[in-house]
Amino acid sequence: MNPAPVSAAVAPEFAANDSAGSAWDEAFLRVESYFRAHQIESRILLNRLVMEVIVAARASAAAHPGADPVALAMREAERRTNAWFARVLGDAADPDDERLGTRGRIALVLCDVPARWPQHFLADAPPPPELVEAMRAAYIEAGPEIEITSMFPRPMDFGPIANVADEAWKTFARWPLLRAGLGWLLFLGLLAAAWFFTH
Amino acid sequence: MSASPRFDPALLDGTRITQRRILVATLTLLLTGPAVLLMADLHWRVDAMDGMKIFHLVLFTILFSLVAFGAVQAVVGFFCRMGRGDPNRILNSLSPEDEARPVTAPTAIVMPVFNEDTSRILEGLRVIYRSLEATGQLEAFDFFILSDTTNPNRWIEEESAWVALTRQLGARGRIFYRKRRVNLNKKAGNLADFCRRWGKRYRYMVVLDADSIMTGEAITKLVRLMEKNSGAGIIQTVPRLVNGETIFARLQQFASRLYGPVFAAGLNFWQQGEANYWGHNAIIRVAPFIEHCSLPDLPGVEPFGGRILSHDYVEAALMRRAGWSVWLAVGLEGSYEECPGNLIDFAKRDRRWLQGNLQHAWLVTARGLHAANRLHLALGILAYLASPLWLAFLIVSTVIAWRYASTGLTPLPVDSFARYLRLDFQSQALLLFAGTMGLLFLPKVLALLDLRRIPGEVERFGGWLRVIGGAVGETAIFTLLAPVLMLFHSKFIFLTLAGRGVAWVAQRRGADGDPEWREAILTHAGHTLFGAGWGVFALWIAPGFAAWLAPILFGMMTSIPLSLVTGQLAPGEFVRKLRLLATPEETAPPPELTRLARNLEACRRHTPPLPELAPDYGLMQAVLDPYVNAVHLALLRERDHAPDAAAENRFAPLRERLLREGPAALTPRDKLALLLDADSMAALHRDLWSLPAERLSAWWRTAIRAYNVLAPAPQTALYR
Repeated sequence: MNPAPVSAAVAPEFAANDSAGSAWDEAFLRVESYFRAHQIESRILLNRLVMEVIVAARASAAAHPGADPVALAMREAERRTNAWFARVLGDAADPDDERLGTRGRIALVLCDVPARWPQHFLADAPPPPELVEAMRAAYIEAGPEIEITSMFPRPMDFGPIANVADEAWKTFARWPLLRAGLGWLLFLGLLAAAWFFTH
Repeated sequence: MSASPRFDPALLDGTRITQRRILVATLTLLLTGPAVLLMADLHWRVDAMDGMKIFHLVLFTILFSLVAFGAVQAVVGFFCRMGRGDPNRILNSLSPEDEARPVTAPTAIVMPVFNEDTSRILEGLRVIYRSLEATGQLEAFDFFILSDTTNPNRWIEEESAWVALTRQLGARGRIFYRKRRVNLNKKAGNLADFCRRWGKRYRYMVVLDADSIMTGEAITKLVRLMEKNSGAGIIQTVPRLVNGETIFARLQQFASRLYGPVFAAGLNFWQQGEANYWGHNAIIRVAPFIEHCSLPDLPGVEPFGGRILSHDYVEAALMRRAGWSVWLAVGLEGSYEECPGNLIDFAKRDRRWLQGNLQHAWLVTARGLHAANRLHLALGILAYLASPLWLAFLIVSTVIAWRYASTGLTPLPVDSFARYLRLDFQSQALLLFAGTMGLLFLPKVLALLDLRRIPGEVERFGGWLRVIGGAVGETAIFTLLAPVLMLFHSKFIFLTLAGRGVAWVAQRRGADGDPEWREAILTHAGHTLFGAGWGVFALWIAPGFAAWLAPILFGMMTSIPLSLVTGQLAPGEFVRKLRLLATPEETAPPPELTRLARNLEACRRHTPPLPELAPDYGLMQAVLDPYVNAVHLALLRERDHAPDAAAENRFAPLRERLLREGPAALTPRDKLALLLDADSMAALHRDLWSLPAERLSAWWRTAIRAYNVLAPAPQTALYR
């Protein structure tokens, strides 16, 4: 599937009439897919969010000559997402901190924000208190607090038969020739038994 | 049977238990003795006794005594269930007041899993959770999914589905997920890991299998039984087999449902507080389990020694050694499990169990174990050893017959040494055969008679015609399958003794698919040829002798079509529509099973991943999907350690190759290593979304396109 060019009517400044334009088309599609992967299904909302990211990324391109548009756009998308997470979660962490993004994404899906409050996702306006409350209370808990207990086998005497068998086992393990010899003896014994019983 | 008087296991008289065991042993001896005498007499009547005949007689004695022991248990069980039933049942220890008391003992419901179908695991848990919630006693329970899964797709599915389930049930802080990095000691090690981390927090743990279902009623009753009986270490339920879709599975569940109650009552009669633990659908008192049931290493090395593979019998024995009782909760409703859908999967599971049981030979003579536990261990070994013994018995029978035939002389039988029998040689042989068959069929007849005891039970089996038809059909098909299992077991024992270990293979169950022709032909070709060759030889010896062996040889020769037909879904569905091999759980299913079936049906309707992405769909989601990646990272970070330069040197080139060449360029081991490394998972997610298309493999470009606005809404377990 080839990336579809961004319509000049929608964004004349990004008309895809050269290779740079085509690269920004790809950036547009990538950011759009990235937000859709967050379960944002509204085309209008997606279009608005993606355009904001692309415009900002394009503006920053001058400061990063030679940078790939996809990388620039995705950096901008991630920065905006993390900044929004920091604002909603009340977390003072660095917006580039991966843990903030992880926590935010988990809160987003646990509270079902893309379905319940899609219009507030990445919006500049302050999020509604119920969204903030829900996201701040959302986290996963893989286990209760660990209380380590030691659990070790009690000694066991396997009895005289097992002990003799163990000794024999170890002896055979040490002496492969003995093992093979016993195998041959067993085979010959079986042959002898077969002869004895059939004659 | 609810009107039985209250039973207090603490006041149980040891002499009475001994009397019960003496009765079972005496009845077994009374049945075995005359049969052995008749067989010895048969040998004596045709030529003199010799070494071969003595060997034949010894084999016959062992095999017949096992048949007789089973029949005696059924007889005893049948009589135990008459009237008010055996008063000595752990269930009778609860008074109505005990049953009304709220459950406060902290209890963990633990489910060790290993590469099983994620939907089945999670939907099973959902049903159990809801059922417990309905009892109003949920507060006392926590749930743990203890994963040893090594398949990346399954692993990621488990994580995502766990998050989805806890979200949907509002069960955060009540349903937990633990994935071990190293599967040390397999299932027993998985449970021990749980005990070491969280065991101190709980008084009891209810151990489930991945395919277990238990109702809230059954679980709360188990906890109440433990609370009431402070000397009980383990209470094992008798799970009913359910959800069989193929003829093979339906045969098993029909047979276990019809004959099981009689056998279970017989078992309880002689076991009492020295019952066995079957590894799941049981409740365990955690503190003594931690203190006494850690498994010792066996002498020698795997496969015969080393780590104990089959842990349940040993744990029961260790619990008993420490003075705690182990009970079988006969009569407790609401405990279910599933079974393999075809003969090959059944044999695969048996191979694992067989090796574990053979290892128990080390423990039979271990000091400090109770006699009953030694018997459990020995019977466990004999359950599998019986197959090569039966094979040897048949081979020796053939050799004896051939020996007579090769002389070219007509045997001149002499009179029986028991002259009053007045039977000719043929009649005496037939009498012995009829006696053996009678003992084999007696439990079936008793189970059918037992059905009359419970009003409406026959109707729940589909009526008399169907239940008798089912019993006859089950007997006929298992008669043909038994020789094939005999060959399987004999081969497995030979391989185990030759030092060839077994892998811990997850069996295919339910609707995972029909057995393939290729697999069936390759697996059973040897059985077919063996049966055909033996048949020709038997015919050459004497047609009469071949007729005796016919049912066995016919089973071997038809093993390929038999295995296929009994293992396929379509014939199973046909039989179900005819309401044949029906069980009460099928005709009048409890709400938990109905709910499970409905939920699983909904799961099957989800859009499957693109075929080209399917083999590495788990990895794809963990890397690409922002939510799945976040959950995976959060779980990895829980136990994260400081960045490791050496690890980074190893992982950076792997990441680069994964993105540029796709998952096919990496070994499964490398993929698993990347999935276990939090830094790599974070870096891969970031890089994959940020790299231009030309720097990504075609596989990743296809994967990203799945999120394009033109594609259908993305599907993951998280969005159920």
